[in-house]
Amino acid sequence: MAPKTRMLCYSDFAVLHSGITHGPLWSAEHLTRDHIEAAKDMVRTNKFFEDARLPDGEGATLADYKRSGFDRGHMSPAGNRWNQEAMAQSFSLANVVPQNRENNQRLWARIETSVRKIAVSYDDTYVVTGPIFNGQQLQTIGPTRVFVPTQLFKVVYVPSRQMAFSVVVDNVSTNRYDIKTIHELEAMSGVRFPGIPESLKDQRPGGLKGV
Amino acid sequence: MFKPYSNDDDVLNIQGDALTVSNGTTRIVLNGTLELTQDQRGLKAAIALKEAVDAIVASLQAQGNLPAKVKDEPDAKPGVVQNPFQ
Repeated sequence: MAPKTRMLCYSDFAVLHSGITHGPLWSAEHLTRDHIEAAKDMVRTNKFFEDARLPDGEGATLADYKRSGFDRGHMSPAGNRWNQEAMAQSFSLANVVPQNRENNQRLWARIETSVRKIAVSYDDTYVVTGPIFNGQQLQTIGPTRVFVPTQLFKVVYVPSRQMAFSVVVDNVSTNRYDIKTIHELEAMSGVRFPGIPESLKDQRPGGLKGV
Repeated sequence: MFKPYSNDDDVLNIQGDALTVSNGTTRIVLNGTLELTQDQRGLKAAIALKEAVDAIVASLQAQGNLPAKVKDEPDAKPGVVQNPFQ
């Protein structure tokens, strides 16, 4: 997965972008109680945009998503951004993947809300969100042929609680989510999480509150 | 500034992404759950929602030949690629 990847830093999240999938491989954020409280007060008109730092052909375009039937699903969510600049930047197409509409608007929104609750409860929380591309063939959208993920993951790491786990959902209209250990997710996604201690990578908490 | 029906790329976020108003050239979509509490935060959100809905109504009323119902546009058929990561 490493060829044609570029790191893109935004003001309060960072993305590893792939010129092969034409989207993010992961998007990472650090949540705090204060930032989540500030984010809840945000009112802003935002605009999806193509990141000018990506060479032509590597990033998705606005035209790719038009009438694609898929939502532009945020990886690091707009609702976690705690200032105007960061919220605007979260609408970069480098931070979104083609996501099933009902999934994005229902299940995924509830997962994002429950992760915010974790950050409000425990303060410093590290979250990494990304797509999984599984199977011999993949769907694509638009002239750029943006890969449609088969699944999405979210990793949650709370150092103060020595807690680390991941949530995995199929990129379809569903209300089902699976809790996976970090080791299981690393095997499924092809992404490694070196910031999480190895000793925590086999934990499996019961589930998410409120999902 | 949220200008209704002017593009397919604007999103008005109210209370983070508690409620989103997604612009579109043929349809605008509202998504989420907004808690309008009896405080400054509730008022700020209520005003943002009212301004957006007022702008939508004004935009629709300003169009002389509004059809009874727009046609549903079918989605484009997705492409297929071999998964390079397998």
